[in-house]
Amino acid sequence: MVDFSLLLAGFADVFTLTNMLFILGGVALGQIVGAIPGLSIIMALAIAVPLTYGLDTLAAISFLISVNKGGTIGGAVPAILLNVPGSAESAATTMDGHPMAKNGKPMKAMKYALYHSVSGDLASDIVLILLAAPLAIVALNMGPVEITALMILAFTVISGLVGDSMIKGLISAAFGILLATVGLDPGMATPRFTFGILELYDGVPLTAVSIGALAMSGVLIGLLGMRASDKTQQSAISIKGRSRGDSVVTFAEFWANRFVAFRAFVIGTIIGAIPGLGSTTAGFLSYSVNKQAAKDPEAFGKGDARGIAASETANSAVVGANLIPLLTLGIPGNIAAALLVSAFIIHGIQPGPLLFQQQAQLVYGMFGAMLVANFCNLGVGQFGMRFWAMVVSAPGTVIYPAAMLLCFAGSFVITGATFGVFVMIAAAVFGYMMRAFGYSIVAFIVAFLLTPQLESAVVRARLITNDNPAELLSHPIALVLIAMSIGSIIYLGPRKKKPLQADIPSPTGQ
Amino acid sequence: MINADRIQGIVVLAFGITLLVWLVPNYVTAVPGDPLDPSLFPRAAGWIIAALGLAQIVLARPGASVPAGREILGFVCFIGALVVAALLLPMLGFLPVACGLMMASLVLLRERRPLWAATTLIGVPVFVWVLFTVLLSRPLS
Repeated sequence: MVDFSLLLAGFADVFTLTNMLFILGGVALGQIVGAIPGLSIIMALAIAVPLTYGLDTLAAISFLISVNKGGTIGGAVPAILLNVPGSAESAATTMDGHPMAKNGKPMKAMKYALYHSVSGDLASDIVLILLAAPLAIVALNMGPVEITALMILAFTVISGLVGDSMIKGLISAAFGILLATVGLDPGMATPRFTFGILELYDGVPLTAVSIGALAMSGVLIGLLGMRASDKTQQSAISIKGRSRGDSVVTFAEFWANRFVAFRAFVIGTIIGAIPGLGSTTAGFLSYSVNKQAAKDPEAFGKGDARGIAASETANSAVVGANLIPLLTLGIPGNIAAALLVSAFIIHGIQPGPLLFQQQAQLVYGMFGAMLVANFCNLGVGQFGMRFWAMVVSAPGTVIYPAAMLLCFAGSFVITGATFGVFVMIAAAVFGYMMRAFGYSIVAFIVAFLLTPQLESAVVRARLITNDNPAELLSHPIALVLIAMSIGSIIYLGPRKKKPLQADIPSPTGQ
Repeated sequence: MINADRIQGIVVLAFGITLLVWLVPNYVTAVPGDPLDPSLFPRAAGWIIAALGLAQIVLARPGASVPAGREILGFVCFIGALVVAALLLPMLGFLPVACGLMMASLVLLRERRPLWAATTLIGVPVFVWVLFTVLLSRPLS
């Protein structure tokens, strides 16, 4: 049962000057980074985690959530002005956003993206707030056997859904499991794979691995791309000298897309709640569904506001919903959620259903911060869009080295020594190779993150069942979950997957 | 010509076998049969990696691409610059090392525009130093 005094206290915690400033700062940072083509929100989140070391838990979580929310809006700016999505999430926005900008309405296109993004995100947050606590109560009734089976299911689903090959996804997850075993084991506290290096007794630092595999490997790919190309900037569509009618979105215009936005919100929320899928899938799927549902599908792709609404509402609705598996089951649904887990862990908190029992005020504070961040997103976007329009032209020769140095400094701060930097560099090499050869970094990081939890659940499950597989028969939920794992391997396994966006024309028209 | 996916499968299989026959026996304490056995997960990871490596050899897809030689050379240069910077950091401190790293990046990127080069060379290290050391009170060396 929800304790309303804790709920109110949690919401009240958000309204301190410090927290509000971090929410505003996070939203602005997310929008700027999202607006820079080549820098992803995941990179921004990975780099931002070390910045939260000195903060209290709520301020840190609020800041990271705000960066994530800001990024979904910022990504629409280059998608609209340059026809290049600032982040993969906004790829579907290019299809109608850029044509609308070319039709002389770049500011209007960005405003459509802003309003639909904020409304999708807000609605999804409300779903999270309403569902998370009741689902967590259900999850609390699960024992170690069920939790073990659930994590096995999470591994198989995530490995199968990310990337083109389930085998490569599972290999990535297996390497994540292996890396997580480095350090003292949870049962007997004996060292594993420490090779005499004292720093490894605490395990491989998660944040350094995240920065290396997620951020630095992407930065390296950007730097190598810069070397391969000339440094001429692609020219963005100018937002200056437009009439008011071409620059604002009236409430009537916004409301006219309500059915499209509702469909997109439902798609985004469902996809967000499923581990392994993400904003990009939601954006493309929503675009495709809304196009098929339209009476005049031929209007899509020519600057139709419904196309922007479909993409932006769905990709933003993922942001709140992807915290549902994290807060109810302790399973991060995607990389952004995984990075939030690393922030939780830094502050000594283990996400999962117990969070509602042990840290309810913090959870409600986080919910409050999410709602506030949506309004900040709207405010910052309303005034900041024209400035982000200038950021899209920032040269990569400044952006990528700056991101590289932030990764370098951030990984030093984690351990207070160069050990963190070397771990980050090693993870960057590994991450680069994974990207180059088509292995899933998402599966790797999520497996790395979940393995300690899985290992302790397995130990407890073995003690409960006395290592007797027949005991599983008295755990029907676990049996169902294991059957679902096997089903997901068969369904997502060796066959070649068809990309969701296959039926949608490329933004470049190719 | 051997398929790139198949070569990766061979590497993964070889690593899995190495894990099972050398790394786990030598670097992990094993207590077979005990529910708290520390070697359970490393061994399981080894078997899974080996089995999946074998599966990848068998089910390799044609046409998997590999990075070009020039890209690999550039990658090695950037990683080399990062390693050198990490080694020099305790001796020289953050700002000189950061400026050196930015200089290496500019050379590798062949940036010739003075304003942007100066921003990267001086502005970026100072910004990062101020952010961590002054604003967040986290020492960088």
